[in-house]
Amino acid sequence: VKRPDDPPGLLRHRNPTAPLLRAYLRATRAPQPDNDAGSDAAWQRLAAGLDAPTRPPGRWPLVTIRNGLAAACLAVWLLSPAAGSPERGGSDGVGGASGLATAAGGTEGASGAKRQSEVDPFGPDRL
Amino acid sequence: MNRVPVIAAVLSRADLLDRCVAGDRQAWVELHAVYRPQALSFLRRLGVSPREAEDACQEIFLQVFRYLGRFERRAEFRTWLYKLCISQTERLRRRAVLLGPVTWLRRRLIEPSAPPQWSETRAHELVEGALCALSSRQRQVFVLFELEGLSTAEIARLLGTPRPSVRRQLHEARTRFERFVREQPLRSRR
Repeated sequence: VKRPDDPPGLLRHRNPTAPLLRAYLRATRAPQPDNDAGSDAAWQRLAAGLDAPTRPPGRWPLVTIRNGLAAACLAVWLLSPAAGSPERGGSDGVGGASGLATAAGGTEGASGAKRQSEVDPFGPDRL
Repeated sequence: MNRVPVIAAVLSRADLLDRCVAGDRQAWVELHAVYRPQALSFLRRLGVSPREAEDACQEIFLQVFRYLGRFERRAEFRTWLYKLCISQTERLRRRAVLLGPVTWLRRRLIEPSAPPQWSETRAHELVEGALCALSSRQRQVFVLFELEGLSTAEIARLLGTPRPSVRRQLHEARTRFERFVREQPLRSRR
């Protein structure tokens, strides 16, 4: 149900684009369940997929390998003697700390990317 | 307005979800039959080609049946289904960007005379063209509000953005949509 302060929909008031939208709606409407010849075949395919063994969520091998590589690169970068060098943001201890902070930022970015790519049907706002 | 059928439909839908969570295969078949057309239509309106929409739909319902137990039912099932559709569309779009050159080459070499998939009517072409002119997020907001009938509050929750931002995106999408339609000839040149 639309809230009263929502703008009126283009389909619901006299608008030159309303007939176009209606035609588009009709054209993109999938067959209804009573008249859907492909539904049974689609269900058979789906049932086969459902019965196939599944990996537990969050343990996809590609993600694991990628994270492993990212952690290894980060460790090498942190342990390298040039971590606090002028090229990385400073010439003394303070610069080293700054390098570390950048590295931490990098880690955060990587985990953010992981969250995006993994299958998460709920997201931060659970429905 | 008689609300009894509406309430009955909502109750039977809740019952259907309960049976699905309990692992009743017949309930899964029913849920799939009822919501597959909605998912397919929504995917097509988000710009997924009919052939890809079938595969995407399979993927989405696999997720539905795997994660249905975690669905907290604070939103309608349809809203959750739409969220899965949007995630799947974004995955397809990312893959399309990566496979862009291969797809182009395949179209040129293997399917040189493949008919355009979205040109059944001029109206259809126009709307599809206008929707393609929107950004991905604008298209999602426009389709959810104008074609699927969700409220801005529901869309905000589904997309995880503030409601004023949804209203702004809707306004921008409408402006661009209407400008595109106004600038196009009403009759096809063919």
